[in-house]
Amino acid sequence: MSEQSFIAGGHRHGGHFAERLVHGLQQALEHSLDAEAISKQRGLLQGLDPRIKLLALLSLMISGILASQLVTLLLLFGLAVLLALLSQVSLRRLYRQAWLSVLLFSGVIAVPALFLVPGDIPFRLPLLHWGISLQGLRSAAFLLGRAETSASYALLLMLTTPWMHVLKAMRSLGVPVLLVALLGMTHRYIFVLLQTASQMFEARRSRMLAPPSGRLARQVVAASSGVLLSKAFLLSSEVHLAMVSRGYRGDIYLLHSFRTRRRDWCALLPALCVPLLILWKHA
Amino acid sequence: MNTILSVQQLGYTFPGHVIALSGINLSIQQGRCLALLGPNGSGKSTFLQHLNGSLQPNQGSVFLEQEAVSYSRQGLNRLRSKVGLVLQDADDQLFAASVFEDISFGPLNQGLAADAARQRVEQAMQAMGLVGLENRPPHMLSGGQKKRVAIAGALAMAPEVLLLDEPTAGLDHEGIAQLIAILHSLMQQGITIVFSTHDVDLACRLADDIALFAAGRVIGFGERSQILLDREMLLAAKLSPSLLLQMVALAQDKGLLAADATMPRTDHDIMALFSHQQPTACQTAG
Repeated sequence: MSEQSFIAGGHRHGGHFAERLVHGLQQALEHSLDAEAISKQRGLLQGLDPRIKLLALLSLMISGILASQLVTLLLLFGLAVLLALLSQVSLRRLYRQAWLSVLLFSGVIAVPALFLVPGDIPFRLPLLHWGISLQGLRSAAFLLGRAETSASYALLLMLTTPWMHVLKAMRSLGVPVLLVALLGMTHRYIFVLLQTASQMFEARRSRMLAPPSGRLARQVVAASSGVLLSKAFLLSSEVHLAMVSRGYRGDIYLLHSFRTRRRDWCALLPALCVPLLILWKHA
Repeated sequence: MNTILSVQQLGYTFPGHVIALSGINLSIQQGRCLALLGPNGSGKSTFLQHLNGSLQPNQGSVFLEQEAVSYSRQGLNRLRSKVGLVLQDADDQLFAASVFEDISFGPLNQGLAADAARQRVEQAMQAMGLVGLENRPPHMLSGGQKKRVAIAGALAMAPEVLLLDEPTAGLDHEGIAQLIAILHSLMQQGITIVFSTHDVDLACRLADDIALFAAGRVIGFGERSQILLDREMLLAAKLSPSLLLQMVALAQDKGLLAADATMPRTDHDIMALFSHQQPTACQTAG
């Protein structure tokens, strides 16, 4: 999420690479705080048992991948938009944190398909005269549609569920405890390292009289990455020490307690039916 | 008074032949508060890690209730159940995704059932004033809150001894005051506290006993006033003597305070002491 927002927001903010990076790091922290705030609001998705929500949204993502008709994809995308509105997630946020980034990433892959997939050519690019095939257009639309729909559901899950509830839901749905603990620690220490990186660049920036040349800026980034890596190693040994001192012996245990109500089942059942309907229609 | 933890001829050398600790003999009495006082790099943190079994000595032994610590899985489990460690940087200690999950890490490792572990976590959160922060991710806490969560994480294991590495590092005045109040309440509950610090005033304020560290050795060990009034020894450890206690010692020398007056811990104590003693001093002068 944070990386996506760097890409979406990185170039809007002027200045040098280091400044943009510091700004991006700060934005990542702000996004995380915003996400926590949204997950505490009253909304449709916020009110669901995280396990049910995880299953339901996963099911809808799978539906998007299975969909073989553009209309189905469009409906699923529309459902994501509707869920966002009912959960107090603004479309602007979806656009900034999911749609734009996915468009940039998937667009790079999708655009060549327009010209390379053989088929009927209804029109050509002006000046270049490259033919755009209908089949290519369909492939690109499917790729983008699936990616945008999946990203929307993933973002909705992340924005409407505190991260630790996502982890607990994963655990209670049978995801191995080690993987859940690793994800939890990764999320935790991404922020510690983000803060460290931000402070490092801020410290350097505060002592610079003029923006560095491109070459110097690259040197700074390379050197800082090295320092950050060695700090990460040091941190990992400290974390291990903290774990060992609290009785860690190679096994991770987690407490989890969720309550499922009728409305959770009411949300899950239709969500599970969608991919089944698509599969049935395929058959 | 019972000795709960002790070390005999403890020595530890880091890889690269860097001697961190050498020939340390120390006994920690149950229910007392011991300050490991010394400058940076004097071996205090390394010593604390030995007391919790996080490090194994190259020389000498650590004893828990007069019994040499076994570094087997079972032995370490016993030691860590009785001796909790709080690291200096709370960011190192809080590795879980939420406050509740982090505090539950220790009790679950002790093999407690879910309900018992949950109860321990709730008790620790209550004691540390963290109720309401259960689901908060650690990166959204203030420095003082992080420190309290770190202590709660150790407390949830119901330790008899709590080791704290530089507990006031990075805390503001209010954070320090809160922490001291918490440690006082833990001491009243009978928990033995061992903390490392380079802050002479903090040692004066909290400790019953002080072990003075310098260059990996203990150069002085005794009751608080005995160590803190030894100016030469403090200077040998590259520490400045406590102004508070120097004033009291001077007042005693001048006859302004009774020789057997209780050594103050805070500026409030010293004010109370002087206001109480003043008539006697005036009479003596007269």
